[in-house]
Amino acid sequence: MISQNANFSISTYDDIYVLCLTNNKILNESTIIQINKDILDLIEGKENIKIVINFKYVKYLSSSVLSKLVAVQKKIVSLNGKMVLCSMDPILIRIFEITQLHKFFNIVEDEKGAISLLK
Amino acid sequence: MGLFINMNMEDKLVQTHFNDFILVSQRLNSCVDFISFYSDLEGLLLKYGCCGKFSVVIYFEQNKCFYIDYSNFMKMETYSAQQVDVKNTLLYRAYMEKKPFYSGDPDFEENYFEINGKKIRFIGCEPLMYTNQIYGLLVFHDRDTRKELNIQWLKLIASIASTSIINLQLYQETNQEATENSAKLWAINNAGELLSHMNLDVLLVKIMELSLNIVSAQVGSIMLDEKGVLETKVEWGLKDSLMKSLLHSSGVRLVDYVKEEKTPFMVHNAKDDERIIVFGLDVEINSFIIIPLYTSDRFLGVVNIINSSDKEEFSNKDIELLVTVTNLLSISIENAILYREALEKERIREQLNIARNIQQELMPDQFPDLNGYFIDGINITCDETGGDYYDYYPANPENKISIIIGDVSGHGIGAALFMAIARAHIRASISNMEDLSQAMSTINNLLIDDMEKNDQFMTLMIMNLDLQKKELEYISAGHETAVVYRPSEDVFIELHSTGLPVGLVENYCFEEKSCKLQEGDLILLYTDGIKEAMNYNEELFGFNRIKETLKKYSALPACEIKNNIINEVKEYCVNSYLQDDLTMVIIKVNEANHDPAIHDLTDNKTEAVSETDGSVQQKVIKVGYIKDDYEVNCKQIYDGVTQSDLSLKEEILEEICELVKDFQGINEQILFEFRLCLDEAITNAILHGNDADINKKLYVKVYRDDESVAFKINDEGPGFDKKLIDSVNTPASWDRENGRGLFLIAQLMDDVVFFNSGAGVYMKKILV
Repeated sequence: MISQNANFSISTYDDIYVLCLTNNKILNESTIIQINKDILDLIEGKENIKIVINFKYVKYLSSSVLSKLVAVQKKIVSLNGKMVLCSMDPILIRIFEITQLHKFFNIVEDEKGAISLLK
Repeated sequence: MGLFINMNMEDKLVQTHFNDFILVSQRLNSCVDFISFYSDLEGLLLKYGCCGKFSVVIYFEQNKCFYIDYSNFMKMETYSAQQVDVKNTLLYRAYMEKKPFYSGDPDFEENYFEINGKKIRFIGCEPLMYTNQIYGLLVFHDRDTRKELNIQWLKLIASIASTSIINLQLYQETNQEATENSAKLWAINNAGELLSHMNLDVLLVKIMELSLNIVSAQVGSIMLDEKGVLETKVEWGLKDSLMKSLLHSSGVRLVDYVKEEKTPFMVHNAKDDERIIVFGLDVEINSFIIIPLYTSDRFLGVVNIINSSDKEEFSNKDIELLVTVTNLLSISIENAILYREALEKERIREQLNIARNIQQELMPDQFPDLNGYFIDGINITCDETGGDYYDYYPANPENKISIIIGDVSGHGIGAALFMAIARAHIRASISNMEDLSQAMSTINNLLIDDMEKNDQFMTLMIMNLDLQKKELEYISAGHETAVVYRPSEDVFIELHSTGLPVGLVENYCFEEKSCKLQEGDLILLYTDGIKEAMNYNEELFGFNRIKETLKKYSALPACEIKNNIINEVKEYCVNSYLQDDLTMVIIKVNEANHDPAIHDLTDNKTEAVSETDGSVQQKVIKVGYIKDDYEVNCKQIYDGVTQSDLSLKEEILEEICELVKDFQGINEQILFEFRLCLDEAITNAILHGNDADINKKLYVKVYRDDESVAFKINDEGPGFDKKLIDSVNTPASWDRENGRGLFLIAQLMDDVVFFNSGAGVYMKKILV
């Protein structure tokens, strides 16, 4: 199943949701809030949810995006679910490292690795 | 013919008389001048009246007396302008009674009248009448010896002549007036054409031509007053030496006499005129005229015109016209002189501008890259050129620089020439000699010869600044006290003159002094133009005000301090004028490669934080603050003011990234970091600074120099809580959603400082 909105597409592999962010600059504050809301809606009430967020197309993010990711991660943890981030540009990875968030998120090289990690 | 066939002799005589009458009338009435008229009258009187000698006596109503207008009975000299005494004579009766008398008449008593007591005989007279008014008498003195006077014809001729004389008189008057009027018109017309003539040389030639034409002369000259001396400018057959050899009886040259009197001077007969001294002339002069040329403002010169001896005198009417025309043309001469002077001034000004540009290029315009020392200088001249001089350049050995300031006495082009000479000697001497006092002695000895001759001297201060030891050696040859300001201790160190100015005493020994410097020290060298700048109340700017101003702006970069001091001096004498050149050099001692305002942040910033994950090295920075009105010492390349609206943020970031993306040293990663840091700072400013109030403003400025790009973001908020800034050095714990923005900025930028009020951040990235 594949569905799509303006900011990301969702596909599923078994019980794994794969969100691919398609907006290459997650910059606009309202976009960030919208994405955050959409993701939270998606996971709402889904115990043990497994989700992959693919950053393949993302070229930019700010601390505002980080804060939203932290919020999503906390929500998933509270649902006993798992989230893996993948296909992230090294420039973006460096931001996670600087903020020490690379220890908090699971970040893997590609979508395949992310799915196998969640299976 | 048939008409005359039956005529008798008497009829024939009448016919002949009639024909002769017509002929006489035509002859006398057709004359256009009196010479031919009297000549014809003489012939007709003899032929028809048998009278050989006659006179025409006219009564002048104005003078109430008789004059002889013409006579062939006596010489012209005898009667010319002589009154005729006719009282108690027959002529008087004839005039009063308007009737003729002839000898032989019963009433004919006396037969003479008197001129100058001399008796003039006559034998008859006829009244000269015009519209029943008697105006004179035709007097007959003799008759043809063989015949009697033909009185009938004499009456006829007198009657015709009566009208002819008046007509001829009127004709001549009208004609003369017309000639005079046309001459005036011609002269004024010509003069008018010359009024707007701007080429002085051509103008003078044309005025000469016109003046000579007016008085029908061929010889003349025009002299113009040049610095009080009359110099011949146009010479038409009249030598300068001849005109200058004509003296007034008082002993001065005639042309100078006219210059003083400012009235035309006319001489009718040079030989006999007692007002002048004609001495040793090789040319015979009869009459001449000297006309002054002047306007209400100034005396310009004279026009001289000479008549050669064989020519008749100038007429009064000619002279009158000549004076009118020269008065009129004096204005155009003055205009042409002023125009020429203006052109000359313009040419000189152009030359001076060239000199000024050359002189300005003798002084350094860019401050050299001095490894932590910022240096800047300025020279403003009050004339086009000046005698002030400053210079700085790397000295030998390499870790030193030489800084020079000097002031040649006086200003203007003379001082500028000495300044150029001095600069050459100074540069040559300093780079060849390590010992400063030896170099100064050499400069002094080289300059002394030239300067002594012109009563010039030069105050000169030469400094050698050791960049590593932070020490300066200096000699001040009579120069203004230089000053070192040390902000850390708030003290001034004064560098006084160490001896005499250069150019005064040969082999003078110049004493060298030294001064230790500290980081942050400011050194100010200046010339007396700054200290002695005068305000409207004639109070000097003074040394104390120089020190105050230096201290006031000490936190700014060197170039800003320089500009501010100059502005203060100019403001101080805003209602007076610049009397002397303004020159100064300012040096700021800083640690290498860091912006002065934020250097205290840099001490600890590269300290590594030990982390389990060694992949990213983190730095710890000390939180620093700067004044809100801090001016960045780099070129500003972006200046944006917008509303506090997050939706505008993306546009600003795009614009700035587009602006800087091609700079040398910018790569994809740095561009990403710039975008991120700007994003964080702008978001903070809008959400936390301006509290998301859309009516408040957001200010974004971008600066660039060779090695860095810097950003200044300000908001209008009350300033954020300074505790927030603690997060600069600590990443938010993993479970906290916010508080990473400032930390990211601090980590990604090389220098970050906050404004004292808290309403903004200044961040800078060094591009390697």
